[in-house]
Amino acid sequence: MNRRHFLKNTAGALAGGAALTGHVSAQPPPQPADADALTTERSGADCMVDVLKQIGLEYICANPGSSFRGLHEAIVNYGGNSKPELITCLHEESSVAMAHGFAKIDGKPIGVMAHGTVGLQHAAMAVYNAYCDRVPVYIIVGNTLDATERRPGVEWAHSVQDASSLVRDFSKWDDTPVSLEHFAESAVRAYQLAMTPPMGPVLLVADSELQERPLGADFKLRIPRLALTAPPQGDTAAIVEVARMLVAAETPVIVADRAARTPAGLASLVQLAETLQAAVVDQGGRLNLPSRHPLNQSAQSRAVISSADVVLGLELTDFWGTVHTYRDQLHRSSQSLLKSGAKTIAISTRDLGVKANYQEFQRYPELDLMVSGDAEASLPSLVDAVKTLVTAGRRRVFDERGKKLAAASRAAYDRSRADAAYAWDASPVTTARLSVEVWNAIKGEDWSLVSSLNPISGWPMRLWDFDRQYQFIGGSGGSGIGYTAPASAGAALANRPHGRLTVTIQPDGDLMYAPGILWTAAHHHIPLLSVMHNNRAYHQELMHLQRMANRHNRGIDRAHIGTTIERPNIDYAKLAQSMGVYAEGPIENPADLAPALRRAIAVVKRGEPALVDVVTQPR
Amino acid sequence: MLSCVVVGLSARPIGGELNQPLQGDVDRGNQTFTRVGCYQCHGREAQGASTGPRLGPGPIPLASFTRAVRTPRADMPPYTVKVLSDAELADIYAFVAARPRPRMPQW
Ligand code: HEC
Repeated sequence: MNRRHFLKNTAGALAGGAALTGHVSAQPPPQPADADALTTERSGADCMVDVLKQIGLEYICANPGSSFRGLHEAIVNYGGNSKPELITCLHEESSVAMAHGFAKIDGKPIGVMAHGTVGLQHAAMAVYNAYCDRVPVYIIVGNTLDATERRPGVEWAHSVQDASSLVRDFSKWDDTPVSLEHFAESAVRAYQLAMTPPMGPVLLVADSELQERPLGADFKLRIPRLALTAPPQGDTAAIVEVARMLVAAETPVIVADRAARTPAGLASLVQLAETLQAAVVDQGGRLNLPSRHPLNQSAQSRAVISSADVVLGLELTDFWGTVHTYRDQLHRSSQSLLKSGAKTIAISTRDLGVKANYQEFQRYPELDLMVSGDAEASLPSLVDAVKTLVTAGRRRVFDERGKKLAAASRAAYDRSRADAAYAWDASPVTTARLSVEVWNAIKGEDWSLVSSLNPISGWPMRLWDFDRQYQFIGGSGGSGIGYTAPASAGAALANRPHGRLTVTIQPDGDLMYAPGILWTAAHHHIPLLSVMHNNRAYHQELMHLQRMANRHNRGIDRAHIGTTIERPNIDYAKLAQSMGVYAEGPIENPADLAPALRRAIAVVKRGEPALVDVVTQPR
Repeated sequence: MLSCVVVGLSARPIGGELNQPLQGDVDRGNQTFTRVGCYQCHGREAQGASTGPRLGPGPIPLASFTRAVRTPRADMPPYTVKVLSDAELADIYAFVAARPRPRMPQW
């Protein structure tokens, strides 16, 4: 039965006996007399667009694919290409990573469309990153399930029984709706689940038959109401116990990784830290505490953790790794950092979303108290519980502690400034100099840094003044390289209506996975300043190779083979220019950096992307 | 900048079988520092990074320096005499010792 004609002609009754006979003719079908039989004013995909509008997807990032041609066309025409608006991506990995970066700034997911087969295969690594980073991404994949409906050839190669199975191990939820009503219900559910901490990517399969199904003009789809779930809070009694332990502690340390999902999370953590005058270590999954807050002890994390009597971890990726050192030598070994008797507490949603196959859940941390709950949602009640337990005597102790911590954080800042001065004029440019020059260029603006800090030795967090949640969004989550460039574009898209200056320190290796994102930024007028950290290598891997060579006592001068990106050097300015992006470089003399940044920022402030290629030190 | 620094000022030998302090050559040291990968973690100017501490100017005493390279205390990959001679290490030491002291930049 040809279901594509099912609803249009009848809204119930069968259309034409021929469809039932199963007769296969070698002749082309006769030209239908009625042109109406070749067209329809309304399709299943129109209803899907109604659903996407109702749940509020602002953009859909996609590299075009025939398996979702119906939906693509409906978004552009029926939906007016507005909310959602189509963002043309040149790789599905870019689509998902853009949505990843967008959600971390905006707090809400945007959509991605991809082929259920080859598109999702391209997208898979970025889905993994979003999953590891607990970020909602709304993915719709096209597919043609009914084998008798598939066009011969490519459509078979692009069809799959269970499309989502490819990423099911590292996505939060998926469904394969078989009716439009089913699509509507699952679409709403998918959004709700994606947004419930621990957040994560979700998938819906949009069957091509459903997308292209002709509908009568009067067809109405009921779309269920979307209600977002209040995030889970830690158990009340457990929170009181956490407060008791923190108030009684002499040297408590709060460690936060993905704790502050929103500005409220940042404010709550400041409140908790200040009430206790406790040391805070920000591991940088998000901006959890202002970088220059006097209680911020991130620059001496190991020292404060090893002198702590209570360690509270908030949404940590790796509690075990937080309280252990690890030695990567021929015989791997580790040691606890904790002093004897120190107590460990976690507040986290990590275990609520845990899966078995991919091992991003890290080692078992042997905690004294584990509270399942979203840290941000649990913090206000923890702050209240702490406040009720603080006596005047404890307050005096806290104040003394706070003074010492403030002095330590001032000293750390002075040390960082002094450290940054070494090799100031070196070429290649040091990552400290790069960070200072970028800071000087942006500090008068409403800025947002959207790249991870690891490749540049964490300098911005040591030197810049971060105090708003959107000023930093952490890293990729799964360390899948190729994240930074597209996620930065997505973050810049989310920052655009706020007029913020979005900056990314763009590693060279990362950009080369899918450099077409530069074109996407130019095409969609996404104001993003990309400052290349061009160390001409996959530097992390170079260091791993060096380690292996040393371990085996051979070839210690050959680690560059297969790890560096030299001979020829890539000209990133030309690459960007070829895609319509304003670009300068390569800059080798650090003195040339400030004027180049000024010119590039002028372009970005006009609403366009710009790139400055800087040849840098390795880390 | 000095191009040649005498290292190992104490009378103690610095390598296993050597009795004389080694004369390190700064330029050769610079090349070796890059060639054998020290720059990867410590920076091309030995200025330090998240991946390895600053080594110079004002390096730790040569005996400790040598120990740190031959039998690292924590995570640094070991460089044994089989792959990096004492003479090469002396050159490296001369190079890191000769790094200029920074002036505090105005920012
Ligand atoms: C893969 C990274 C890596 C490489 C390559 C490397 N180092 Fe290191 N180095 C480290 C780290 C990390 C430390 C900190 C101590 C530790 O982890 O063992 C260190 C410590 C040192 C120290 C001790 C410094 C101090 O103040 O205690 C010296 C000296 C040193 N390295 C010299 C060298 C030299 C010379 C080379 C090249 C021959 C080199 N390193 C190559 C990572 C590296």
